[in-house]
Amino acid sequence: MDAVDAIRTYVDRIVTGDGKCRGMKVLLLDASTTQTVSCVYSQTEILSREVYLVSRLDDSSQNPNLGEHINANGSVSNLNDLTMSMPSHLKAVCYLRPTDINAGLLVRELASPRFSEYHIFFSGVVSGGLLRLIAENDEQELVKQVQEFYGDFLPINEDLVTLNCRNTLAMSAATGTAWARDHAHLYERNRRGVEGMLLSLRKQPTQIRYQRSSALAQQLARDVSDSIASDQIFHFRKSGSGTLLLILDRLDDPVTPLLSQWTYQAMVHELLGLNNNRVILRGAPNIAKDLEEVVLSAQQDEFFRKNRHANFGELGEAIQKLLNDYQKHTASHDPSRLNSIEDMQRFMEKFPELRSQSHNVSKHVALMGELARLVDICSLMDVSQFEQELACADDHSTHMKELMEKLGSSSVKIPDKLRLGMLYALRYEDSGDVNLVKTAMARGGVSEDMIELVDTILRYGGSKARGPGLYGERSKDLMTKMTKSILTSVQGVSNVYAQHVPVLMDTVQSICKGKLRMESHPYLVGKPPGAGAGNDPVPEDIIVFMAGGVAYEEATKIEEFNRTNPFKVKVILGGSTIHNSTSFLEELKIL
Amino acid sequence: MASRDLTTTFQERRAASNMRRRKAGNGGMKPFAKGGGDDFHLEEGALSAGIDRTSASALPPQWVDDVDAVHQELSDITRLMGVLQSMHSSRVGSVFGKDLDEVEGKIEKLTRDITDRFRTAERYLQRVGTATRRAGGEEAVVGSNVQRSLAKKLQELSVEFRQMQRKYLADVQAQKSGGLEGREAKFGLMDEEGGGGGGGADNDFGFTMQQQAVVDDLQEAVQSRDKEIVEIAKSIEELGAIFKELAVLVIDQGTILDRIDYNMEAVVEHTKEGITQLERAETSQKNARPLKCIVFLVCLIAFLLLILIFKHRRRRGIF
Repeated sequence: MDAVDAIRTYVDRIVTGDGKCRGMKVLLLDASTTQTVSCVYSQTEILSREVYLVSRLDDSSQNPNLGEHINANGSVSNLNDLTMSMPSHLKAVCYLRPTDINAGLLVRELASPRFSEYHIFFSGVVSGGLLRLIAENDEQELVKQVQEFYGDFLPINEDLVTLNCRNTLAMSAATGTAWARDHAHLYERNRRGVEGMLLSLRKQPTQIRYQRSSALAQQLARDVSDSIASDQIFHFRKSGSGTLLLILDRLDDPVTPLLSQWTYQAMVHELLGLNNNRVILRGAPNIAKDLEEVVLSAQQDEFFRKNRHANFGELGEAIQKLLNDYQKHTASHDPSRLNSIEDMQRFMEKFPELRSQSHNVSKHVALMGELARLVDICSLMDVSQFEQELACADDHSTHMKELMEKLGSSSVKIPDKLRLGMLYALRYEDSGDVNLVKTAMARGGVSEDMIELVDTILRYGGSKARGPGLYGERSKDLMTKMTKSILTSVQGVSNVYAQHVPVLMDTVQSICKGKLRMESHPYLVGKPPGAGAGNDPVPEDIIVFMAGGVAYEEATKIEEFNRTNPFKVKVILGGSTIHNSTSFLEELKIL
Repeated sequence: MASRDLTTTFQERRAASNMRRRKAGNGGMKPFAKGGGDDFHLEEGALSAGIDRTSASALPPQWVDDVDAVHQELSDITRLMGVLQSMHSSRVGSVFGKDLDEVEGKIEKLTRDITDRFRTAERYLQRVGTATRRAGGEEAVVGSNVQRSLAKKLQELSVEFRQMQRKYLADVQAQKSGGLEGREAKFGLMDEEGGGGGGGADNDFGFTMQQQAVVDDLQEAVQSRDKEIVEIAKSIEELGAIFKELAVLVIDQGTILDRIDYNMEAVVEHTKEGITQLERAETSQKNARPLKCIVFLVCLIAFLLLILIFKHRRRRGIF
């Protein structure tokens, strides 16, 4: 099960029109399929497949049929008149989501066609009405084929998938209430995303479980199982010991997105923002012009693929090694030591390779430098250590003292103060003094609307709203808890910055032992006889979807899990979006 | 990967709706013409309209033929390079062949042919570039993308070609210098033997006839080797010069420029920028200061002329 591979196979078939489209082609996309295709295919690759123009169907500046251009003298003219010769001998391959808007755009396109042939691929199940609408408007019979290819998500890593769908926290909070209708389109997107995952990975879930504490998870699970039951396309051959589809909700674990991260991919997203594998370094000091925006893609960058889950220390060493290798390479191809024509020719041949290597090295060095600078400025080492303690250990008085100290200190940045306050509130919701913390935060410089977020997060993911398991409330009885805390205080922890284990990992581990309780995660489909006795069958594949968003920390832990259990279980994680603390707090504000 | 083909359903629906549309069209026209011929006229009309539409879009522009020509050249070059490779290996393999010169001549001809093909391909590619740039809009983007991708392929082939040539050159050099050493060794041996025999007198007279012949032989070999090396080096140089220009078009892989979505945003940005620049240019042209000055000066001249005429008339009037 490899999400990147699945999407790449689809796009491979699309760019050749599934074998039926030869010659020069144009690829027409919409907003979300553009992101999907850009994640797996580079411009050079798509050019080598004879796709010479990639254009968006819904963008009026790229689609002349849509836009009206206001001339300088105030008259309105259709862009159609301005462009003199339309490339109408080209064939168009369209890859679109099956929405009504796209259907309308296609109808407009077919009414005044720009290309000689159209091969249409939809990224989801097409309703009969949509198909009829397009069929009735294709007078000149330019559409040569219509197919469904279910690549409806963005594969970031081989086991991490996102839908890039924001504002799902609000959707989750509104499920079952009167406001649910406002988020209907988001819900639709999420549902189709889950179905797309199942179809492109060719898995039919033998068991479907959902998180009881979330009405959204239940509704989503029910809708997905209805779709599976009603449509033949979802039925695949059963493999091994079955597949489990697990639908979770972010509110079960509001702590993980708030923590600072120390592994490469997670850290870049947390401090700089990693969106669709692109990082913007513009605005940071000492950045060269061609490094203002860089790409961090595991498919194209070998170094990143090996080190995306490496922690900060190991990363430093790896970059050092990369730099040394590069210097050795350039020393043997030094331009100042070229003595003969043969040397020069050999240098020219090696030059493109050297240039791309140099760009790669400088990109990682620049990123590392920027991350180190930000860690320094925000004193993230201290803050993160305290965060981890707040998330993992239970020691009210020490924590309170340290929290007050941090909130009053000037070296801690204001967003970090907010995060610390929220972590405290989540942990000591019942036993601690949240109001005192709030006043301390106000004194420390946190603004009024940000302090409100503390209440919001308690409302969203507090102990009343979420399921058990966040602070080890689930299965551990007092003895195990005490032994664990004694052991940790005596032995110490191997890495104080990586103590925290997200609730997701506990859930997955329980599934592998067959001990996931039915009270917290009931079965919708595939309940085995005698379930709940603690010996449920362990599925071979687990597809986890977290409505509301995942965090890179969870992705790292899942990857580690996959690596240590190569032949027993494989997990693929999907989420509505990938959160960092900024995006999580923003979405909380709208709640 | 799961997929579903809806083409047949789509075609059925389309056929049904098109038939319905035609029938509706026929029904509407009935009052204007008599019965049977009516259908025929309508069909003709539709057909001719269809023909007009397709004829307008059917003929692809000239540069598409150029692109096909470049593709053709690329495949020819690949094929010929394979032939050249086998000729190289056969030449290097045979040390004492009789028609070595003939083989070398053929190799040279083939090398020149391939170089010419590279040059024609490059010319076609440049023609494509200018034609599409002139057309503007989407065609320009398509043209530049075509140029980039084909330039990359050509560059890879030329690198391979140069490497092949260099390897061949090195092998030939090694062979010839090895042969030279062989001959030198023989010369040394002969010298010893000859010296050993009737010796001392011969040495005093410098080179004997035999030794002279050997020296001539050696000199010839050196000269021919030099010529070969010069030829090959020249062709490599030419090839290098050709692709200096096209190398600029090739994108660095792995950078932000290699992202599809970035390129789409960049196009939008450029078009928007272009439009604003054009508008700004237009307005500034209208408001140009020079225009005002010209108008002012013309008025001044007219005014002065009037004064002159008036004065002249007055003078005449006096008389």
